[in-house]
Amino acid sequence: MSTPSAPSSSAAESPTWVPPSSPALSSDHPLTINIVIAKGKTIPNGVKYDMRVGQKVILNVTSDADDEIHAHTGGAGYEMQVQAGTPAKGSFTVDSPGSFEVESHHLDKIIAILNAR
Amino acid sequence: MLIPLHGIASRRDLPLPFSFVMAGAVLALVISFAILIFAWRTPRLKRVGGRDLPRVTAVVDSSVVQLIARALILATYAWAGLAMMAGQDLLTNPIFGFVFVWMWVGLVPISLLLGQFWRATNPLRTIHRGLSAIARVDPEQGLLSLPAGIGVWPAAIGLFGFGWLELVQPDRTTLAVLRVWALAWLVILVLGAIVFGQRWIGAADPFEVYASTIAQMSIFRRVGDQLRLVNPLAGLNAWRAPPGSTAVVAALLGSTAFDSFTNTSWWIQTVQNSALPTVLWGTAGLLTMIIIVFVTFSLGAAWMGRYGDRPAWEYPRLMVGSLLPIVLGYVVAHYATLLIVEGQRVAINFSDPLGRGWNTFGSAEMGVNSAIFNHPTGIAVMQACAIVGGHVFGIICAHEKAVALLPPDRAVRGQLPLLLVMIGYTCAGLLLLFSP
Repeated sequence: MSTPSAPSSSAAESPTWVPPSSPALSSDHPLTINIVIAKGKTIPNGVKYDMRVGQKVILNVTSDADDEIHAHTGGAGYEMQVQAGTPAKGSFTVDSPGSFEVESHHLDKIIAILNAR
Repeated sequence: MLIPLHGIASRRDLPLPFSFVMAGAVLALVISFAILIFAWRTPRLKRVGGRDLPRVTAVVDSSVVQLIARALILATYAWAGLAMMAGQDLLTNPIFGFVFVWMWVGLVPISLLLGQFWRATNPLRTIHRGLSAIARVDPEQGLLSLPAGIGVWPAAIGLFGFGWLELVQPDRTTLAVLRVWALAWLVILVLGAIVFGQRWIGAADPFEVYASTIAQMSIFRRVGDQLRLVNPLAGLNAWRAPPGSTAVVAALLGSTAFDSFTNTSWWIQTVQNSALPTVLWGTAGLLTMIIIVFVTFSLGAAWMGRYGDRPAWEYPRLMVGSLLPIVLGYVVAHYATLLIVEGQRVAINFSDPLGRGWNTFGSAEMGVNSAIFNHPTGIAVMQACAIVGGHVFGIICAHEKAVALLPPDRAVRGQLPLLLVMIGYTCAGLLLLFSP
């Protein structure tokens, strides 16, 4: 089980400290993922999150460039636009079990993998 | 529809629970050593055995049935080709699923259930036969003759190529890229067949060689002129692997393992943080996995040369059949849900190849039944059973071959390194499914 934590100094290209996301494993509480995109890198960078089916996922995104966040949660999936410099917030629910990718579409990078049970 | 970053499936199976990994590894270890120490010391599968099926043979070999089967398969490929050349560059174009799911994964159950069906109906052979008939040339004869030692080496390279397309090629789910690869496949194989005769297709078509290899585990086997219903282990044991088979199997196992490996946190984070282009990482990773399998298996098998009376370098090819059940286990564990779910999507989209709202086969309005995903534990059990089951049958096959090739008092010692290699593959397979 992977627990997200504050980024280590190896991810030091980002100037801001990103508060740790809540690894709630209950479908009553949402899973909040704070995403920072800076200089072509993402934080989190391919982190795996365990979560429950039916749980809401909240994304708080700050990016230094325009981007699209995609969550491939089956069906049409989820899409969210992000403007450079403007923090954006979005949310979706995961309806069925599986392992789903959340990616930065412009950077072609996986931000997070959601393992929903 | 969103284009997923990796391949066409928008989701992957959940990681295998670690308890399953432990249980599977322990089971594999215990059964392997039990077989090594307690199992039979003289060969039991010297003859293929089985039962002749004269009526089935007559039907299968009749020219009408052959013609219809080949025509149907060719028509299916032509329809897919239509989608590729004239369809829309969207994920609803069935060609992507046709290649990456129906062909690449589908050939496994087809070959297990129907034996050498793929070789018999290969559209490349049909096209070449047609061209030869027009030119009034014997399709078996080419301009040059293919040296016997070439075996299936060209197909091994082709399988690496397809693995690269499947796992590394950027923009592989776009028509522009796929058209280039499909055209190259068609040209290399049909032109090659014109140059070398139809044997070239059996030496170089990655799909046919993959299918023919899996078909060695089928219950249907042709012995002499007749089709027989056989014990798959006996059939597999009777397989005389052509030169290059070790490379073919290494490419299959290595690419499946690499596919799984790219889903680990370590890989994703390392590649995404690196200044090196992803393509470079992917190529290096794929090649490394294939080489690791090739080298470890070859060394493990060559060890038997110390106890047998053949040169060491002959043993890998003699023993490679015992890896096939492990390959099968890996493929089932990794791709079964893909075939079951995305396979349906291809069938649905097949009715509308050009994206114009057609419904030729009546499937365009259907929805994909993804109920299987609601049973993640069931999926996990299936995956663990596939890997461990493949391992057990592989060990049985390796043991049978070892007692046939080595003197009875040395068969245990001779097998040991190969046994350890196979246990390694199985534990690696389970760990990769755990996907740390």
